[in-house]
Amino acid sequence: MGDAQVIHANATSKYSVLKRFPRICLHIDSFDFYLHVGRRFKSDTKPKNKVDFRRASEEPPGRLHLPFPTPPPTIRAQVLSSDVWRRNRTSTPGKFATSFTTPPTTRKRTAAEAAIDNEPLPAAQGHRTATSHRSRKTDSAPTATSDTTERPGSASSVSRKKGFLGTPASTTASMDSDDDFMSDVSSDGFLGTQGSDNESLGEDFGDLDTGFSDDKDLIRDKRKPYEVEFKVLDPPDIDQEQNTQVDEVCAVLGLPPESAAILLRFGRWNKEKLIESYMDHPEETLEDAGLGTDFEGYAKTEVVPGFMCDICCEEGDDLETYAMRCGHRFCVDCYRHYLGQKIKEEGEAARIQCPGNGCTRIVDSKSMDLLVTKDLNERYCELLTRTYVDDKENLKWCPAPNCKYAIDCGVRTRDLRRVVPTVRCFCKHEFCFGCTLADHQPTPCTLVKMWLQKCEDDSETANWISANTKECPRCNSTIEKNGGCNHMTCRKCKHEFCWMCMGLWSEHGTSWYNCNRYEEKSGSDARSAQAKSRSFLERYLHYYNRYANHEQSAKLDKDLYLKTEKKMTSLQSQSGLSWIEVQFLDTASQALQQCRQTLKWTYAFAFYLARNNLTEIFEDNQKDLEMAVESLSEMFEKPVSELAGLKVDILDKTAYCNKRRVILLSDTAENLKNGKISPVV
Amino acid sequence: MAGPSGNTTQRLIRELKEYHKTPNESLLHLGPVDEEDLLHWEAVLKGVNGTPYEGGLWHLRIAIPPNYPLAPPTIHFTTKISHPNISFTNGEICLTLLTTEHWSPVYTLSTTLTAIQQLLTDPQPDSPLNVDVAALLRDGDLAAWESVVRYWTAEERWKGGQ
Repeated sequence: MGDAQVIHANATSKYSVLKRFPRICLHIDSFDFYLHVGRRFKSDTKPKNKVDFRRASEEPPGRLHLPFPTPPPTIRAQVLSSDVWRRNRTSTPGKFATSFTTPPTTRKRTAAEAAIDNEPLPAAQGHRTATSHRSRKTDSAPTATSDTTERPGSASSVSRKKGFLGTPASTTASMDSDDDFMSDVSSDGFLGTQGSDNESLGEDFGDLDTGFSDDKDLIRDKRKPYEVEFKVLDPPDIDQEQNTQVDEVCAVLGLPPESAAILLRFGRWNKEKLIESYMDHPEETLEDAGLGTDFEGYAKTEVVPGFMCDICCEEGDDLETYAMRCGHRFCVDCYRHYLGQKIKEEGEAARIQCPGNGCTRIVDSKSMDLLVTKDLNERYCELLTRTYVDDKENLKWCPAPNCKYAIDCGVRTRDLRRVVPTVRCFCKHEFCFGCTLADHQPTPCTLVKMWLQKCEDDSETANWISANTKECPRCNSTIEKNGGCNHMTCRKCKHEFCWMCMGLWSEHGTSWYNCNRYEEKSGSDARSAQAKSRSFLERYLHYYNRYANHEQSAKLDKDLYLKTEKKMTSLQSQSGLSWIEVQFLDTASQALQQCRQTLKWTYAFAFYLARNNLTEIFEDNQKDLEMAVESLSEMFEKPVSELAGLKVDILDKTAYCNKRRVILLSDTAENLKNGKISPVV
Repeated sequence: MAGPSGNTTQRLIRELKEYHKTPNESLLHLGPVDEEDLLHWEAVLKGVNGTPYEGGLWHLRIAIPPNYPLAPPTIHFTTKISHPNISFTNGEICLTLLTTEHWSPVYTLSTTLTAIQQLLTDPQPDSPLNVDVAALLRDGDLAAWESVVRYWTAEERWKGGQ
């Protein structure tokens, strides 16, 4: 909406207050909407009390007072027919003409408010009501319930509270003026409509408090800008997911489930494409997937007289044999060994073919159930799950050792330039969904890759050479000054020059060892090229040193973390604090780890950033976090005897560090997303 | 599986009998090196008439895994041969059939060797082990290829047993 010019003075100040709190800031949209409501109350010429928006269909016609848009006070008590109500409603201008619904609590509130309206309420008070609503909302008052109670007019507030809390008996009792009204509210089963009401809460202009409490929930649940939505999946969840899709394809294509599963695996779980291809060329698709067109019969072992197994050359009239629909028959023993070999030794599952010569039929799960042992079948299912996760773009295994969970995250590869999808597994390992490296917020994957490459390989050797050596002005041989005076003689071409100014030595005359010939042209060209490469190296080293420093410090902090437990124990005995009370050290140590990790990557990120105002903000945030981290780190290293006294400070600092980190990451993530910060690659 | 299982032994004996009953046209000899050890066989392959390999004889060493026929045998040329898909230095053969992925337990040693003979007549210069001779084929220099192959076929012809 963003029409800031309509916000009146009071609201504007709240607006700026909001700006300082990013969490609320996220909901500036809903706040805006709120302002509109406020404005509406303001701009209405007369104090209109509460406006009651209801859905016509839900109204028992003629039972409610509907003073919308601005009915004269006399109408309020009048019983309107539903026709009149509709007419009034549709005549409402602008956005207020849309359909509004009111959640149950709202109804009670509105009803209660209507009750107040019946009391002689001065104009000014009605006005104040609206204003107080607005300010309360922006102040993020604690709960909706308490919100409803603190309203002007003590008598009415009591009755309203009762109405709100849904105690019909007492409410009706306290309502001296409007029995009819309240009984309506408490008895007509609004709760039954709650589901549909909640869906349209966003449009609900009718009641501010309800809207507010809902907003608050949103604020609590809303992700921070640098967080992505993801789900951790247990292997059974993954199986469940597979089965659901297999069932769907079964239903659509009318194939047996084991065949549908093979088809899906063949189509790499792209259901839509698979169904389309099947509809276009059913036979080719089935053939390509390694399925026959014949689905008759069911899997069973048979004894075929006069049969000889092609694998073991065994023959005998009582030999149990098995063949899939392709008809390649082998003895059950050989089949079993063959499957065992494939599953156990080769780790194959999704595409185990019939052992027959040149046969491409895939062994389905039904045959598997029939032929292999339980543990082999378990391994088979496990391998299938593995291929499923590998095939799906939105699934990845947690890279932590021995972790069995997979992560489901919707971030696509093409978004990785602007989003850093950090996910946290149930095993507590935090990693980037894009590249599966350990958490590298706020630096995007591409930069991380480049940075690691840069740090790892010899690309900086060249930089070192260019910064620490000079080239002979005549033959361009690379020369490193190994001490001595500035009078250089190239070993190769015997050119004589001054190391300081790079000019000809013969021009120096007698001023040896003290070059004051800076302005000479012959030297300045050579120097400028030198300076440039030197500054590049310095820039890189600046960021690299800080990056490496945080990496190193994080390692040291981790060592410290291992000592933490010991520290905590000794703290318990020394200061008489309980185990729970010394947990702050653990929290602090974890915060340190996390912040250092973030800081480390901010330096890699900063290396690739072009300079602009946003970079400065980024660096300010970085500086704040760094200072906080360092001071926390310092406190943390204090001797055990002092730690107990520092508890409050450490707790504060920990909280502050975490907050700075959130701010830094949120800010960077938002700018990255909007393309305001774009790394120079 | 450490030693050969009963199935493997039985199958190998069966294959040996089968070969003696109906010898393979493309082979001069096929059988275990040592009667005691069924997992090491040797074979002598004949060149196909009408190809540059005509008249050639090559000795091959066959190592059979204990879980044969579920896993493919390992076959090497011990006689030097000039062929795009066979290493000139160590006689390694590049044939999809011999990889675990494409091996079928239904193949026998005899059929596998037939497949190797077919490889001689139908070289695949796009996945070469012997790059030099593959380059000749790829460049379409058939005359050069033929003369090189004929030279090595005659030069290195297996002489054992004669």
